[in-house]
Amino acid sequence: MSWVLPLVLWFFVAAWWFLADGWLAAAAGIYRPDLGVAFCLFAVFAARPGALPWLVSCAGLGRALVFGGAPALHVLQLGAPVALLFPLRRLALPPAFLHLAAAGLLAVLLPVLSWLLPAGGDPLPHAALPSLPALLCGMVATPLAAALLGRLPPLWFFREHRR
Amino acid sequence: MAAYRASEAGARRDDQQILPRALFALLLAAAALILLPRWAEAILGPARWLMCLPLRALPAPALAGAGTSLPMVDEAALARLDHAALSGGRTVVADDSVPLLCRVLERRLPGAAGLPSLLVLDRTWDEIAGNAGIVTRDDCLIGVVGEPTDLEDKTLGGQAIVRCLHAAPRGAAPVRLLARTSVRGEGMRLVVEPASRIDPWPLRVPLLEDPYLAARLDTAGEPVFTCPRITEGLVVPDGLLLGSLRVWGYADSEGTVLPVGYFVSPACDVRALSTVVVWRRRTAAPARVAASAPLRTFAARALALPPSGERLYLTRTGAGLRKGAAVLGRDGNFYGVVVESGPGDGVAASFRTPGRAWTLLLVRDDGGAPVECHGRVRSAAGARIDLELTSAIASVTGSVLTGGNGMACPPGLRVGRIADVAAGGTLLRVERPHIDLAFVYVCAPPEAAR
Repeated sequence: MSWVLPLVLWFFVAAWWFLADGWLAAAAGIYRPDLGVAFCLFAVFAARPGALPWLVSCAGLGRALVFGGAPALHVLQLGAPVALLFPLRRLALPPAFLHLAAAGLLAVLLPVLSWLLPAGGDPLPHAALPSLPALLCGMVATPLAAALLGRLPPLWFFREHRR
Repeated sequence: MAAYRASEAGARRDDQQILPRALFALLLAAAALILLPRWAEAILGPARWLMCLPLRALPAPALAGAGTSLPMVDEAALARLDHAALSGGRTVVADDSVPLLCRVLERRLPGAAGLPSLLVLDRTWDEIAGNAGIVTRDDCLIGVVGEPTDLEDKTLGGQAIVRCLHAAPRGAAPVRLLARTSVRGEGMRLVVEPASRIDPWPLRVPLLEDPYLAARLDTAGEPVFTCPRITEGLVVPDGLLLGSLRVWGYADSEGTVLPVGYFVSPACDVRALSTVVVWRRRTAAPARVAASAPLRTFAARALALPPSGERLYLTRTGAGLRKGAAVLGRDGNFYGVVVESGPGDGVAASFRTPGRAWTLLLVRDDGGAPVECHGRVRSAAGARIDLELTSAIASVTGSVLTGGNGMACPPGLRVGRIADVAAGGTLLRVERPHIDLAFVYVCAPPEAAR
């Protein structure tokens, strides 16, 4: 039953992940690692493909609790960029470069999706595009945060084993 | 960790995926849940409750003084509103009818011109028994007392409803009224019926007494009044205001309009209504109206969610939370409404949340009749909140109260002060005071209050 523990742990940590993102935003403003983007980076480059549905659905639920909007919309907002960028992990390019580029792309994609996804009864809160200094700062800080948090439980349990 | 991976062969196959097929399946399921919100609520509500269990470990202040009864509803302002709602109708409606004031709790069923066509009242069917059928607000005819269909009855819980004049109920004929107006000083009778959803105004005129006279109509806005009508038990008195006449057509280069359709723009915006008058026959048995019960509230713990603190995670101490229930600060000021409810907990969104629509009462400092309005929050900065109104209002100074915003969000709760009315009366700026969120009160729906 040891495989249950990581699943349960991520289920309960997901809300705190985005609470921490909110607290970071309140404390540090725009010059901070975006934990939503950091989660997507981990999912794109380091997570086991089979674990992605559980990771993304818990993240969507936790993010909806903190920021508002329908959880299904948050799953789409986080999951669609992950699915789009997933093939990047097979590219034979320096990982640092890939992570940097993906962090920048995700920092733009997530706010764009918040505008594009359907606005039904419980729409996503509209996010603003990051300014250039915030984008550059995020491109450096977010991959570092993703690398660090990906090596800690519970995400550590979901890492892909490369051969 | 090794045990988590089902098998080495399976794990290797998993790791070699180019596309995350399981993730695609999840995205498909999420898209389906957006189309089926009831299913989403049933699945995600308990999941959110379970996920939030650790949040209850966060320190929260004790509910000291939570049982204290506060004067949360501004009864004096509501009395002024009632007086205004009654004043015009008394002179028009026959002497054999007596008025019964009702609060509008909810508006449902978007109909003609996209306006809600059904109003849910705070009275039960028993309380309005023996009614004359018509529902007014001041000297305006709003609609008729409606019979709920089976589907509606289940969701209404015995509450009485009003079908607006622009309602077109399924399987039943719409209300058609004989009305009168004046064109170039000459009186003209016309028939008014519900328009369609895409029409610019909710009432259309299918039949005119003198189409040739109407074709020469060059100015719109003439008031339209009811003519007496007695059919199928509905007695419509003479002289109730329906709205103003509108002409839809094509304008040529000289500004002359070729009329294509005639409409009536209602005198009252049904989205803004908080109080209406149901008229009962004097000969009917006395109304079994329940005594006005004080606002029932329950205390709850509140955790302000980051980054803005405009969402509250609520943990109940009493009965279950209801979606749409009003949330008040410890000082009795209106904070917002419950937007997500689960077994034993919920999330509240602030009044300030951009995009959220509210029905409000503007209570004048000069003692005049309160203004009912409906608007959507455009932006909020600091204590200042800007609302875009659906109908223009005159510039007023005074305080802002809630209107009827749902079954558990009654009219008369304190929101703030009017800072300014701008953009020709369509932009309302509200100054909201600081709200004490040491703990909050959550309103109970009316059936729990009785």
